[in-house]
Amino acid sequence: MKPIHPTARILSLTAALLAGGHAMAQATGPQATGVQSTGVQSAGAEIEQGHAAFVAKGCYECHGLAGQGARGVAPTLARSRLPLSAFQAYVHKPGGQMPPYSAKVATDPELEGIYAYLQSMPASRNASSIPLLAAYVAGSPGPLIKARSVAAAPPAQPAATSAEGAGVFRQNCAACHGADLEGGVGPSLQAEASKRTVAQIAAFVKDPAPPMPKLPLTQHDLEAVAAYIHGHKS
Amino acid sequence: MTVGAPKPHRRGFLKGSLLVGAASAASGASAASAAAAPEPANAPPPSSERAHNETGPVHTEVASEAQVVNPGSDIMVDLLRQAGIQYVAAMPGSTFRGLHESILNYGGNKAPELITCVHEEVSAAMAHGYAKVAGKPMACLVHSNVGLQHASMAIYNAWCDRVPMMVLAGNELDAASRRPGVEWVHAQTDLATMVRDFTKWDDSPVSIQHFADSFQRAYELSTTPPYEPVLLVVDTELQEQPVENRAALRLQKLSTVSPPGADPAMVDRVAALLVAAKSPVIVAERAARTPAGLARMVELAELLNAPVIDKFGRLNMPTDHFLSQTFRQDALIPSADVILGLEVSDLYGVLNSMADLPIRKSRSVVDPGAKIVAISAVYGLMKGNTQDIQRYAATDIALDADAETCLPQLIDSVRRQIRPEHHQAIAAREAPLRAAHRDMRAGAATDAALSWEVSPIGTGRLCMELWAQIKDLDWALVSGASFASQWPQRLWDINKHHQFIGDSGGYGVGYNAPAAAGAALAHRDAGRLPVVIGGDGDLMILPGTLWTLAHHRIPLLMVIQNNRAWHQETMHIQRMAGRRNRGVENARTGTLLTDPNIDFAQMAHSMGVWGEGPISEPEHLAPALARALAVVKAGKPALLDVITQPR
Repeated sequence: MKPIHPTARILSLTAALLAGGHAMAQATGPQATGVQSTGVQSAGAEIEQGHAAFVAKGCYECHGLAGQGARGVAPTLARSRLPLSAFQAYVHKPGGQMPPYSAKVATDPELEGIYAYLQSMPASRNASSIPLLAAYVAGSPGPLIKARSVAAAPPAQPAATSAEGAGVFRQNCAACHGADLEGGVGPSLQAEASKRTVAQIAAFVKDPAPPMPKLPLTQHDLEAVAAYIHGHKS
Repeated sequence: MTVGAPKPHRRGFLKGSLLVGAASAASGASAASAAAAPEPANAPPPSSERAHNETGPVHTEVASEAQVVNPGSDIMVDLLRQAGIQYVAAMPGSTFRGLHESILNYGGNKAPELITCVHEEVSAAMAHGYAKVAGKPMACLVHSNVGLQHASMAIYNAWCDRVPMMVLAGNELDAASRRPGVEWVHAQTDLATMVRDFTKWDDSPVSIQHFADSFQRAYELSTTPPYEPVLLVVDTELQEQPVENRAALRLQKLSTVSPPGADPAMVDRVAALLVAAKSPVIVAERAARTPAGLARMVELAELLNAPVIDKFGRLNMPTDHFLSQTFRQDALIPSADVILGLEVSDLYGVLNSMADLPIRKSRSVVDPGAKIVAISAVYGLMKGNTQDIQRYAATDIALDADAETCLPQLIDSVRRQIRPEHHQAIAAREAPLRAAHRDMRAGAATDAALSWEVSPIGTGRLCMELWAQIKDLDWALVSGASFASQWPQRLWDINKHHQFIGDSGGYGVGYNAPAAAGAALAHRDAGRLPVVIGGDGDLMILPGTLWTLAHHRIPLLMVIQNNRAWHQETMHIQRMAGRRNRGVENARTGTLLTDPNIDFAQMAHSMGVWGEGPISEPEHLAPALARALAVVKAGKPALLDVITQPR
């Protein structure tokens, strides 16, 4: 589903809902949201109802209003590429510490609406376009305390990972597989090198088995991210 | 002292004074603009009529035989001064009125200076924050059992955080000297018992000589690693009765105890493991007690090119150093072949994972062949009842020694044991770790961008807007920021020991504001600019801290991360509701701080602190921060209420 409204509108609606506090949460319960299915209402209405459900179900408490996630609490949802069926299945029976939201508590139509809302979020600003963050993306400002090289040490080995692949991974894979490939919604990839070659990883990412979604990556990006996953050393 | 006259009931007496003062401050604040908060006014004394009602007739003439010269509490001031105690925090109470008066008139209220607090928990928490910056304890005076109960939460935090603190608790030990009524109610036969499980040592001296000896011992024990709070009961009669022959007293010099070191042979064994390791990892929590300790941590990590996971009890590794790899713990620990824990309070939690699920199961996350080494001075300290000892973690080598003290030994041993054949492996670790550090920070920046435009304001944006305005100043963060997703630790260049002092230790809510005030007091003396990112729920525990900040002109930028909830608890209730299949619509009841929303700026105004907010739009944040910083640079506290995302 394509984004159909700007961030500002989503966020102003959120602010209005939050202003109601607990009353808001009650007013936007399953009956109030009234999500039925995508086939009987406009996409815009479905997204708004999905957003109301996102707030009423308390999704934002852990995942944030922009689906940004919070360190040590919950992963980001804003970049999730899970297909709808996998999303619904995960919410009903999640892994880890996320509480289960049964079909009684969060119906499939409601989750469809939440999914539509999440998918409608416009891409967030790239960190490189934000002056206060750009330096980190370009490379950290550099250590103020310089590392001393060990005396008589030979030249350092080249990096085992591709910086290019790391960026592709961060943008497309980390939300499910973890920033360090440790797993999360998706499985850990830390031991992939012992299971698959670089070419096999690239082939899997290009044509994945469900529930992993197909990612819109160029061949160049596919190869880079496969090299990154295969060469990842903790 | 007026013999025969009823002793004033200080609590009620001073409460009346404070009420008068608060009323005048509040009326002034209602018309005050944010930029022109009223100067704090001294509370007027109670009227003679009120004093009479509360205390009985006040005798203005005293017979010469009723006067006291050389009161014992003067000696107590000498002892405080000898120990270099700069400040004594206190909410007034009659059981230490003698010492209170001696600090003011005998000591001239200088070194030690009295810091007036409105709650004993503020007093103790200020001492907690102060010690972590100043590197030495301050004292807090508490009023017998009622005051000590108030202070106990903050003492527990300090215990868990391994912080030195001198708690002086007034008490009337001699039952025959107590007047009927409140003096019995505010007395305890064994006063220290209520905090004995989380203090290192206590005593109830019965003579001035006894007090002098025990004061020296208490100070010595508190300031010997592992640092901990100690408590001395200060008998009212000892304070108020004269010392007949001061020359006969033996006031011994204060000695310094060398911290516990380690057996050199054991240190060599640890070094051998580290040198031979392919993937060594250092985990540190309160290892760097001093700036020198931080420098030694860097030296050890660089010698080995070993990544450091900082548990942030203190600053153990500069966050901008490539070996600072804290946020890669999930990847580093499972692949480590040697894990060195330095003053880690929960080693089990590092080596194992246990999710909050209905059936609590833990699983090891380390390689079965990994060698586990722990160095901590806490091995010889813990007590049975208090469970901050954490779950037992088996080690291959454990040293009961102070980690910072051991570091020079360990560094020397590592240097001696590195052979040419080790150089290549050690050097080969550098490039991947540099790349990983860059990626770690780039990932954090990418995450911060996700909520950059959102309202209420994302915590990443909050922290980065603040960082932009302080990074070129001599700044210090005096809070842990764990509820702000640790953005400062992830993205700020924190590389001086005093710039980060960790968190409460005991997770006791209410710590942030008063501990920040104590830390800010020490930073004021050092000429630095302290900032705190504190929660709304935390400030609601001890809001009276604001008054102390204003009263003593302590510069501090307080940024309230206001998510209008005890958000951690919101998530807990939501988890319970989901687990029980009951729906989450009611799960926020009891954890929200809404209806009405709290006006923190007005709260600040009411106590003489500059305040502004609520700020909920991201574009309004930077200008508001600039206005608040201008106030702090002028030597005053300022509060900025920022409405934020939950985390």
